[in-house]
Amino acid sequence: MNDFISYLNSTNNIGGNSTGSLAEAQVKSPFYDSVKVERRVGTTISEEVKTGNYRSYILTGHAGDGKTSILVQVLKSLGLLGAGEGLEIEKEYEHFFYVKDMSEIPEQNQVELLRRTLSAPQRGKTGLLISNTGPLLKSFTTLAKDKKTEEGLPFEAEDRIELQSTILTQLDRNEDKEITVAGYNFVLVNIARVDNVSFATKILSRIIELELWGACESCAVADKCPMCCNRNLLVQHFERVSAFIDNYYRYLFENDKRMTIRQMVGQISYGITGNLTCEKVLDSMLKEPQFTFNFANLFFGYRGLGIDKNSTQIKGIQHIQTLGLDGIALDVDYRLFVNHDYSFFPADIRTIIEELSQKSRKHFQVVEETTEAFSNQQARTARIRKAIRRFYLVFGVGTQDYPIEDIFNQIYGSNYVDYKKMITSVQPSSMIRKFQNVVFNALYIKNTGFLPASSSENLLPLTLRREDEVYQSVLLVLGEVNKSDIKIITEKIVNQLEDADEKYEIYIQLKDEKFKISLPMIKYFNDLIDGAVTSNNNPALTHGIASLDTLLLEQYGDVNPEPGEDCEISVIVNTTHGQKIKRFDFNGNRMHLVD
Amino acid sequence: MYPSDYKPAKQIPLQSYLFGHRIQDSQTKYEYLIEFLQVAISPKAVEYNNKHYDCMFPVNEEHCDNRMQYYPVSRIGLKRFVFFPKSKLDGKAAVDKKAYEECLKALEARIVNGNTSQIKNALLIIQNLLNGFSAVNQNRSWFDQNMLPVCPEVILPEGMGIKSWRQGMTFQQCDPDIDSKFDFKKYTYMCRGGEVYYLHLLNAINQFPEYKELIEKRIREMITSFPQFSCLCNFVQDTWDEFMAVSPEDKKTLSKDLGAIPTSFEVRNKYTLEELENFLNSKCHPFEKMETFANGLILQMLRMMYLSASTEKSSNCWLIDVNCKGYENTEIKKAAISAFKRNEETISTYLYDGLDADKPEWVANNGDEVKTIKAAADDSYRLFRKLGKSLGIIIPNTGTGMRFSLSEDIVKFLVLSIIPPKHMITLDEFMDLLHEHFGMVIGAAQYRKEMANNMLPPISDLSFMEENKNAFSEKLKECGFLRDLSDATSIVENPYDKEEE
Repeated sequence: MNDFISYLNSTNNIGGNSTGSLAEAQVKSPFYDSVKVERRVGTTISEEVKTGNYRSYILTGHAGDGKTSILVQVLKSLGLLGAGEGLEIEKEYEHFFYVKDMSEIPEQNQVELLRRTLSAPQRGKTGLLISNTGPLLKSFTTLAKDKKTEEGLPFEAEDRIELQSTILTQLDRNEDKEITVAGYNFVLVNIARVDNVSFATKILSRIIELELWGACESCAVADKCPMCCNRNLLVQHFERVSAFIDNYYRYLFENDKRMTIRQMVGQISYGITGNLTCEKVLDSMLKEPQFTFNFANLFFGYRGLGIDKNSTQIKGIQHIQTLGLDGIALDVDYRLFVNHDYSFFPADIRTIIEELSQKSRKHFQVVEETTEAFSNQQARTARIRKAIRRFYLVFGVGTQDYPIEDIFNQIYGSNYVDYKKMITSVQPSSMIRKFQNVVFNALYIKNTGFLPASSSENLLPLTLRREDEVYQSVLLVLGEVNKSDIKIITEKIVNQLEDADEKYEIYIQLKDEKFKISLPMIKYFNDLIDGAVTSNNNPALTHGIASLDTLLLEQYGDVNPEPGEDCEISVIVNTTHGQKIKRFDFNGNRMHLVD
Repeated sequence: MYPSDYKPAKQIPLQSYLFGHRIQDSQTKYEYLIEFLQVAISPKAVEYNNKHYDCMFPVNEEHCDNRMQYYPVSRIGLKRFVFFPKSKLDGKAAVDKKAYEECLKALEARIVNGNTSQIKNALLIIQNLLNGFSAVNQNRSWFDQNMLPVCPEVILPEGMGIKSWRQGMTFQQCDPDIDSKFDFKKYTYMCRGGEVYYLHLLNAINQFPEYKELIEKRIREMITSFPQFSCLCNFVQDTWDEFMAVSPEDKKTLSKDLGAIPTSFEVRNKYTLEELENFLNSKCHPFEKMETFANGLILQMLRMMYLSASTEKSSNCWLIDVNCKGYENTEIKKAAISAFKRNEETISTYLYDGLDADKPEWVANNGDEVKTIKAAADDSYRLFRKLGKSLGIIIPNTGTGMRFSLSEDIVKFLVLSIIPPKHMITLDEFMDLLHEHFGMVIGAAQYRKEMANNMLPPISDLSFMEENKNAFSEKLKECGFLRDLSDATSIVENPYDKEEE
């Protein structure tokens, strides 16, 4: 028996026991130190305490983001928490004071504890308070109100909105600077805004460490145990599997569907165990365990060919099924499904796939197209194809014709891999130019309705367009931007709260102003170029794009003539023979045609 | 009524007395905005004491007590040039056809540096450019068409080309009737909806004059963002005016009477101004701003009218079925349908109470009670339905089960008008403010408030309102205004920068 299996099963919320996912229970777990990951904010705080640089910290974030783990990390680093020792609601040490969770404290005492945390530096210690945003806002409102009352001033609705906005803006941006509210200086950290994607690979490598699986070596059924087999597969193909997991969580993160560490641990653990137990494996004859309970199936919430409905309680599985990643057609489909060419799989996986494929062909019958048997057979074929795709996505080997990078572009959008490279490392100018072309072409088609006539086209007309269904055959040109003025730049994020070693943000630089580009925006630009969308199809992007329009106009719009002044007007005319730019010069009471 | 000594020439209909003089159902969304802007930018006066005002919203006690006039510029030549070729055949009188042809010739003569075909083509291009900004996509006569307010020169009054007036006319230069023999007081499509909003804003600014400067400045900025159009339109109209050569003494100044609004609208004064300040301060594309303003203006008016019908027994709050895809809920749907019925009953009661207060006179004016009430219902809650549907705040578009909801366009106005630019507030705070400003009941907290005052039926399990809140959160997220911040807190953000001071 391996107790680690029970621990893994307790990290997700399927079934009755999910205690392993609770930070407080984890602190006492013998496996905690084996799977924990160090957070930079924890290191920063403990270093500051050690060097006597006392500050006040307030920590907030999603449940499962590791707030309590950071407190534990700090305490352990300062030697203030022994093995197996639990946490208290609040505790004051010589140079450190903490409040474990503000919501556990009666409302009337919350403001007082907030005050004590904020004034900790004055008492020669660092204060760390963990809180949900709701009680935090409430307590700060009371603090600010009290301060105004002391000053003999009223606390108006605008004051409340201003206070909320200050705190929420910091929580949204998560800058590593102190802010001042109600006369107190403190660092407000929102763990939910920290890029935690890189932890997925670290967690995976910790979970499959040999010492945690030592008990399995002496197990009589280790060879047929799907959990053991999954662990061995992950050791064997660690690089490839972690590439898939890392890219999946990266995609979610960039699309505002960030996973918490607890959610990642839950999905990865479930991918390995499928919530099976050692007893279950010993006592029952599992059917095709290598295929049915394979990591590639479990990680997607499948048991064999069918969906395990309970598994959708795991957030990562819910997302992966909504995205329908295994339903997206791949370039390799023809080779896999028509040629039955499984050379794209490593040997151990190939065996599983070949067995599945042979079995399916053995059972194949020629039946009338109109019968129920025919549609059942069609549905089964579709399920098998999806299963093969899952294995390909997780374990597939890249070839010259079908490189691994292309797989991610096929499922996450054509510039996904490039985008990821841009935000994780410094890229050569050829890559920058590639992005510049995408942005230029997308803006060109958005402004004129057509792609540039040739690749040498270097002038982007800024037009006044309606966003409704009314067709405009002539568009007013409000300015022009040279392609070389649409600069793509990346800026390194310098933030001591961030866990990622190296992270960059991508911007369009327009003179002195910058406009941040996100992955959904890149996808939207590509869709525009492919003629797949109109601007209103994604309202979440519409005002982002509208802001870019406004910025372009502000920076590169023609200088507006004063009332009564002569002016020149440029228009784009859409004709059956393409587009033409016409210019009219108004001079006195005459209009001159300018060629 | 506002102005206070408003004395109509004849007895006004019940609906005008209760909801302002007066709005009707043929006016489209943009025409409310255009009509409002038209009053705002026109010179105004109180005729009885000959007091003139050039600003948008004069702050002065005189016009609070006396009915005002405004003097829009008709620019019929420009309207004819833009809309005549692509309009309904029915309204094309021979005199206008001739005038249009003469206008083209006059313009051609002013174009230099091209051969005949290039010149004709240039005129066609200008025509198509301007026509591309048509505000109403309906098959109407050329004189009933309007352009989006891309510059002050295209914010024009309605002038109906009465068939009998224009059929017998012949074209002649210097004849003032060519451009002025239109009925400018017909109110077919510009049915004073914009005037009602203007009066509301005028009243509000007179109560809170500190908003005057900012609102005037921002509105002016919005409509003067594209001076190229002014240049183009002036070229067309000036060429035409010079060609026609109507003597100054023959030129007729257009004068229109501003109506009146009930003083009950005043309860919204402060809210309207706060919302406009936030909205107009948000730095979005001027074109985007116009579109959102057109939606917001009608929403504010609707709320104002629902509010004036509210009583101690009914706050006339709007129970919103957010109806976001994937978050549909039958319980909220049922509750919203029955709340909507109560809303309309409240308005209906308001009509009857209004009638009872002055029955003999109304009846004398309208024939009988049934007719009076029917006409009032047509111009009040039935019209509100139509307006609400055009905004997407009343669903479904056809069929039974009408209820309040929220479209993406309205969500945009709500965020921009409630939250100052570049500010963030929590979702709960946002819903509370929507309740305070617009009487919108979206979550359980707002329902409880209304329930405590007996304005909504008592329900013990309000979990469906929590689901409604989730649907609202999803809708805001889809529109890009909401982000999950941490734990259970979501933030709603007005993402736009603040316009420069």
